[in-house]
Amino acid sequence: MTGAWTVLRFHVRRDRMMLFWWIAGNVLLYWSQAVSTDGLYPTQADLDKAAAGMADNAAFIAMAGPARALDTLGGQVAWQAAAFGAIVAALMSMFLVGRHTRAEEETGRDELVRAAAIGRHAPLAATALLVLIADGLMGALIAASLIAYGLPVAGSSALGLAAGLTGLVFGGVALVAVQLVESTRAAYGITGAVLGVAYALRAVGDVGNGALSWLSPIGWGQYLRPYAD
Amino acid sequence: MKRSTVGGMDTVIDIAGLVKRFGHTTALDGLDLQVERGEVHGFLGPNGAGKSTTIRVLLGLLRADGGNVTLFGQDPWHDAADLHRRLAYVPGDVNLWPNLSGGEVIDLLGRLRGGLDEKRRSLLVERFELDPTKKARTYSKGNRQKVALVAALASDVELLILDEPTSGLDPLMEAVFTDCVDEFKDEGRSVLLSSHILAEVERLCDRVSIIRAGRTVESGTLADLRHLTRTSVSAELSQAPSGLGGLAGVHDLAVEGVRATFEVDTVHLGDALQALGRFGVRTLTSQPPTLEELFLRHYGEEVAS
Repeated sequence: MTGAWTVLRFHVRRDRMMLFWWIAGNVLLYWSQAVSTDGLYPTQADLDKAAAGMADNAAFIAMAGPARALDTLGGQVAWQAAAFGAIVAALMSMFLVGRHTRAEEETGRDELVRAAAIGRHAPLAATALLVLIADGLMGALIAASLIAYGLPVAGSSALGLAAGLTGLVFGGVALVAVQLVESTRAAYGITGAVLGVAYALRAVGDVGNGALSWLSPIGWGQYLRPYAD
Repeated sequence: MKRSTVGGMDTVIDIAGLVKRFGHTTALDGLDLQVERGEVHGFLGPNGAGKSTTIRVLLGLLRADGGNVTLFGQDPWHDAADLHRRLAYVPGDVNLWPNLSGGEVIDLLGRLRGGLDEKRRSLLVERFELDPTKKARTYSKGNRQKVALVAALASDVELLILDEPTSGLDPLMEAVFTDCVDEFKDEGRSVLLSSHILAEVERLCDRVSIIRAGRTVESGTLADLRHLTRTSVSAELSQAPSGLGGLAGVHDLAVEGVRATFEVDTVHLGDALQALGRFGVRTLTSQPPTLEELFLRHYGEEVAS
């Protein structure tokens, strides 16, 4: 592990723009749902009417997730953003892992780093830490932006936590994938496939009795039931 | 390999019978290499002979399948992080992070190695005429190599491992590189230099190991190895020569009237010149063997095929 900290600082230095756009983009995705919902349904009566129309729509549910507390602003935000936000977090984690593991190896850049006075596992440890920090920051900022908008603290925290944790799960999937295959591309393929299956499982599960949703990391996030209880 | 040097206190790199396999391919098949403290050791061989694989084993990036490898008397796989504090490595094809500047990369590599000599760093940047403020994506191959060289030479290490380090440098910068390696060596430190540039090896190296197909085929000083080589002789005589072909050690004899050209094993050079003398020598040119010829004699068949 010697040198993991130095490598991590280096990762952050390299990725600062990339991290900024991923995180800002996802925060904006959540926050804009709050803004647009407020714009579309300015009164509680409008919200109630909209909720009644959406709650039974199987296509919407398959796409976004279980319809919960749709007659609240928070419920609407969670419903519209959670599945896609989880995917954004998952993709960010996947690209971060691929970029600092197999891609470094493919370009030969990792030789320069590995020939330095660092432990054999330091680059991988630094990558895992980077994903942890990026997803943590993303989740925290999503929560903070929604709280700042005026949504309940508990629900906003749950929604941010769900995004961050789902990102971490897929960061873990990507870390396993880069151990299984040698090329960055193949690792992205595996992680992407798992992500696709996770999305499909929760779609089928959400429309049905919900059992399949429990097999999906995206489903786990939604079962945090942000704003619903 | 006939060398019988036993790795002592002053042996920096000691490799004996190193075997490395990749699946069914045997990349290194009993390779031997000794580098003593304070010497610049040339590491020669054609592409695919196993030079880079050997270096990767030395750096602890690959694990040996057999044989004995020690670096400063320690195990390069086990003690990698510790050992890397004492060495710097420059790969042949330097790839950098495109959105970092050259200076940032030099500092990063220095930090990863445990610190740079700031004064030496700025001196080297100047000598190599490197603009460290530019992003790495704008650098040519030579400039990327300069970044890695500056980072390596500015760190306070005992051993430099250089894998074809000058393949992208222009002649002027090659001269700077040569000077830097000389200075490094003068401080009693050691260099392992894998190279195809034979003039560079002749200029820089105290000893040379030649490898082929994962084995060491020759090792010794350049003078040692010259004993194994031929000198080419071209002479204009006052009368047509005869009987030269029967001389020991003479090869590729061509006689055209009073002109004779041939190659002679360096150990038989004296006899050949005596024989020439009998026919009255008008002009004589002889070329000392270059490392290139030495190389060609070992790998001539591969080069031809």
